[in-house]
Amino acid sequence: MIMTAERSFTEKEDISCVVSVDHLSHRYGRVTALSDVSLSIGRGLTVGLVGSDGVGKSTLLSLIAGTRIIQHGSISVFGCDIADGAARDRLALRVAFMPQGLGRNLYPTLSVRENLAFHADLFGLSGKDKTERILRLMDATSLTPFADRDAGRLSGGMKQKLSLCCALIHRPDLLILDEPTTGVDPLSRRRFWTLVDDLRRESPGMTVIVSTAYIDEAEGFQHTIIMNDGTVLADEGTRELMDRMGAATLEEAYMRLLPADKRGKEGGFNIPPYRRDANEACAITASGLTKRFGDFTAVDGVSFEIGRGEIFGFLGSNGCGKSTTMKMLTGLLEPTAGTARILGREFAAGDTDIKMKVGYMSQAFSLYEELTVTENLYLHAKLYHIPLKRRVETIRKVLDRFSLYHLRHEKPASLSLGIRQRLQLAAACLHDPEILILDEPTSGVDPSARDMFWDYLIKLSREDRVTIFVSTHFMNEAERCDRISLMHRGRVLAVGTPEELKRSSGDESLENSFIRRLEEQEEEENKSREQASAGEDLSVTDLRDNPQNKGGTAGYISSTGFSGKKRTGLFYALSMIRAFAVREAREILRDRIRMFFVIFGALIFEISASYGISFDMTAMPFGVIDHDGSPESRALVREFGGSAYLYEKQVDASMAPVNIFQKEHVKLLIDIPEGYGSSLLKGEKPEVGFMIDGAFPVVSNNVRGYVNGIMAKYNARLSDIRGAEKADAGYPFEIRFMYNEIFRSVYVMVPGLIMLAMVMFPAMMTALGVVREKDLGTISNLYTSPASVYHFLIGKQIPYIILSMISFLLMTGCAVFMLNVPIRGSFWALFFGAFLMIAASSSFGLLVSCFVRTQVAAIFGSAILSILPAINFSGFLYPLSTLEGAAYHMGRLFPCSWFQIICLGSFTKGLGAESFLRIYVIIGSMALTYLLLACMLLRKQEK
Amino acid sequence: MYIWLSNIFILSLKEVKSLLSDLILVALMVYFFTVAVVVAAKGASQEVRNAPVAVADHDVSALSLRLRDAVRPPHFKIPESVSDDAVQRHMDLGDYYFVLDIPPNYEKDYLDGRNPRIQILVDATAMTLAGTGTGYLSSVLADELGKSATDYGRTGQSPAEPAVLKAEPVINVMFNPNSSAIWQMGVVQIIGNLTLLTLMLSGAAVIREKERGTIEHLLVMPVSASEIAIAKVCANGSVIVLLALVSLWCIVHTWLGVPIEGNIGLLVSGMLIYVLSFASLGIFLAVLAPSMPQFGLLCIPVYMLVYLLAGATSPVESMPETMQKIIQISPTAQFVSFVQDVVHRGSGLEDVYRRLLIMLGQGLFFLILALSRFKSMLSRQ
Repeated sequence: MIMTAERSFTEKEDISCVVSVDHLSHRYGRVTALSDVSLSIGRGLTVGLVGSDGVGKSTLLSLIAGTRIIQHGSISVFGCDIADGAARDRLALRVAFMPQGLGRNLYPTLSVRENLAFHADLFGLSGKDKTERILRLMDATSLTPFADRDAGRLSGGMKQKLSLCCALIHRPDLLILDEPTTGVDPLSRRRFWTLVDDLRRESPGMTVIVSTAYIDEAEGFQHTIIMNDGTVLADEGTRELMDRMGAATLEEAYMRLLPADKRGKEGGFNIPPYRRDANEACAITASGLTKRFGDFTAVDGVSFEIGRGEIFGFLGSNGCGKSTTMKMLTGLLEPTAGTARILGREFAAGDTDIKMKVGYMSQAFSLYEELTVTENLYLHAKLYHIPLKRRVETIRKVLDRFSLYHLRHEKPASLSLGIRQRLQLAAACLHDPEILILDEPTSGVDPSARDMFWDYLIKLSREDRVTIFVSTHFMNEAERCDRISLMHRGRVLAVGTPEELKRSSGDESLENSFIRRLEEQEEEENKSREQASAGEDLSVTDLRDNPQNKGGTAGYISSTGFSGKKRTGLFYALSMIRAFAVREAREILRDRIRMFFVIFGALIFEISASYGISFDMTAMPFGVIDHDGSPESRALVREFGGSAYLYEKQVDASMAPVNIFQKEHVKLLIDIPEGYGSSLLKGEKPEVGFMIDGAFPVVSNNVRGYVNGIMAKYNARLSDIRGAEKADAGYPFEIRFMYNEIFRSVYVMVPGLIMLAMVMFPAMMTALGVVREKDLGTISNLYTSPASVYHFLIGKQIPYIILSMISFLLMTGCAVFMLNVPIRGSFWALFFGAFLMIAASSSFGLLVSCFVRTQVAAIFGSAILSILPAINFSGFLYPLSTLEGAAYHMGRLFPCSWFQIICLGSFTKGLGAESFLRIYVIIGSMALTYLLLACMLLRKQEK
Repeated sequence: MYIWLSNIFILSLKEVKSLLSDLILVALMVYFFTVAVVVAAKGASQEVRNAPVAVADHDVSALSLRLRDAVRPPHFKIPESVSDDAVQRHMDLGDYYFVLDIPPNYEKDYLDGRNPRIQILVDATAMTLAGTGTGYLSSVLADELGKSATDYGRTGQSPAEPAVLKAEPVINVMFNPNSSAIWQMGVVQIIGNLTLLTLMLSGAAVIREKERGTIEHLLVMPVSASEIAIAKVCANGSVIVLLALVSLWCIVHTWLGVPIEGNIGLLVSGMLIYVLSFASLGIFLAVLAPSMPQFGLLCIPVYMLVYLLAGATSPVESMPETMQKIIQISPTAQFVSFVQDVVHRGSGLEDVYRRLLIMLGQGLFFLILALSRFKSMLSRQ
């Protein structure tokens, strides 16, 4: 093989053994996932990993892939110890891991091509090699016509194929797939395995490990590992295993291996025939149901009737409109046309009667992750108004029925996919509904649990006459339904009993009948599409005609050798950073709303705040309580009324002063005592009371200043010893207001507002960066790639820095041209300072993001932690040097106060870069510190 | 109606549980209502305190040294000497906000009655400090000059005091006799924190449920959108109000010694009404911004505008008149006035009931807006 020859770095490689696991144990809190597992996997094998839910399959696979930290024991892959970080980075080039869940390694807002390009960049593919590889993979998986569609809008089967392409982009020697076909329709599933088989033929040296819930799929693999309760029950060749157990199918062998209580239903189901009562109204009636999202028709004129107590199955490819139909039946979505009747009534908004009688289970897990199993069930019980007396008992019963009792204090986050589905089902059945609407309730659930579950459904239907409307991808489940409906692209293709459907298409099994119908339908569509747009899809036909692609998948793995680029050095680092930056930038460019908020949010903030926040002196109201009423007292009041800073407001002098302040909101109250005039004329220096509202110290300090000034003038006039001129000449000081001669707030506020925006916005944007990828699962791309944490973080940061710089330039332009606040100093000094500041605040956001666990905590933490230093301790409102104690140090330790100096300096004080050299160094080193801390906090593995 | 209320209660309990399950979030909230309040209240000052002063003394006489010594803490830092050429640089970097430039031969000229002038350079970019600080500084210096005049026997030049007509002002600052910034800042800080927490928590709670699909699940149950929204408002609101009250009482009142004049019951009900109305705004924003990153970006300008323009950090009276009118739309502006009235001025219900009604109306308005778009938010794909 060409590839192995090139990869000469492998140390002491054991040819026969690719993976060897030695005494591996793993626990999540109290739950044991793996206990003392040892096994080894030979080169070039296909290995099926089979076991029921929560037996540790996913844990084992993620440990082998190196995305999870090993607790006890050791694993070596291609002879390298996986606990060693450097070895992991090298192994990343040879191992591919596709995590559980539909398209967990895809970015939903990027197109198919962009997703592939990102993965190619991550593994250092470039130029012709990269484009060729992407084209070939897309062609092999027939994704080419959808190259520009967003990954989030692909159907489930297509998502899985794209995920696989992304995993295969770097020609791995070991491919690990964790339940790749869960939740995928039979046709797509069949195609998926054909694809994997083709790939294997191309590179026989590739080892494939697959965990699956479909045991019949595992039968096709050469080797089988069966797990139960964190231990390995069987680890041998599939054939040998079946022979040893004397079983005809692997499923049978599996059942025999399991302990008796886990075996599920043996000997198939005995379903009493369904008899419809002709007089009874239908439980569910849909007539002409149609739903459009924009110009996309998800459901197109669907009609059916479901009788009371019937089990009605809904089959169809992924994305054919099953879920949308179900949502319309539950009242979650309003149909665009047509009607849905439940128990003879049309759904009206707020119709709680019907809701009480319907149980619904959605496709994706939709219970509360932060509540325990029991708490989730209690919430349901309460909301469905199950009386207090029966609540405990009901929940206990449900916990037992769905074997959740031992897990009752766990939170769903720590449970495996299958168990979570079971919990959802338990919640849906809790209130004994008359109708159950179940959207793929058993996807990801292991066979024995599925049997148990169907046993229960059949009992409900036949004994309690509960109507069950269920969608599924499992054909053996479809066979158990009374009637099934085949759906494709929003339309119902056929309705009938399983027998009728099989007969009408002449197939033996329902699966074949189903696939045949879908294929026929697709062919028809393709024909009509080709006719309709013969010339339009040039790109597609172009590719088809390309001689290199003629052979379909032939030779696309080994034809081009691995590009032998050096994997170290600056160039490599830059290319990694570029890969992450390009991806992030694409995502931002797609998100128009976010761009709008960043750019216009900042501008609106700047304009309105600069208009509104002001410390300019404006006239304040004052009131007078004149107990004297003499000409002298009136003269005193006139003196105050004549001031530009005060104006008189009439007040009710009979009220107590406190009440006057409360009612009239005057800032100053002058209290002239009785006999003031006469006392003054006698030269007795009478007292005048001035009461100032001290609720706002800035205001009260100013008012106090006015009072002192006016009284001084008033007294001078009274005594008339020196004229005003002479007194002025004797004033011993000359006061010069620097920088802002006319003392207008706007010259100080606007630079401050720019500072605030450059502190808050970048931090806010990057704060979600890491934690959101953890939430969506795409962080696994970092775990499985050879890129390092700092490539990832810096790459993420770059697009946000650019976006923030644009926002900065707009704000500055707005300040200069709209608000008439000129830059008196150097623009470039400001520009460079802003760049450093944005780098610092975006690094701070990343640091927060690496630290917190939830998105809420991330936006919250970055806001809380940066808002106080930015508004209060930056010198924006109060000069920094007047701060005391912790506040002063907080001000100095955050970059905001330093950047405020640059902003004020270059805008108002007319300074250039030479004045800021020290500050540049300070802000720059803060940015570096934040980034380094973030790199240290973010691990390249899961716990 | 009973079911409506009981559903809200059940959902609120669930909401509180989810909120408290995020330990980092809880830690942040506690920090925000304790450390942040204390540091901000004690640290920031609106009075003249520790203002850095420098002296460029070209005289170096007994008088100039005396004047220099008069500038003292707590209002000013002990003045430092600077040379002429360094003055500009230091002021550029904000090292000194005030520089006294004492001309050569100052003492001699002064004694000769030529009225020499000391130049005071003021950094006018420090808006809150420059105005009052200059007043303080010149009065300190004038006092000292007056005293030295007597000592030097230069009575003729000092303000003469013959038996003339004169009124004696007696100034009394009400509600906050020492114009202490701690009094105002402590309370303002709590208002600011309350606002930010309410806005983000209630909004983020909606988005989290939307992104995880749990809200859809709730809507299938016999639960209405209004119950979900109101439960979020109530749960987040009451946790925040509780925290704010504890902080107001223990930290601001007991520790920082800020008197609370008004009726505490009135204060609590005002706070509740405000938080409910602002949480409704948060939910409305969450309905507008479909994802968490978008919501975060929408929150920041909204919060900063609402907070900075509410009259909490800069006086409402200084705003342009149209702005003063516009800002009345914001519940925060109403609440800041309400709190100042109740906490500092000791106003009673009859003085502030209008503000309470306005806030209530605003809350209902936002809630109705949010609910009207709730379903359409879910059907967007």
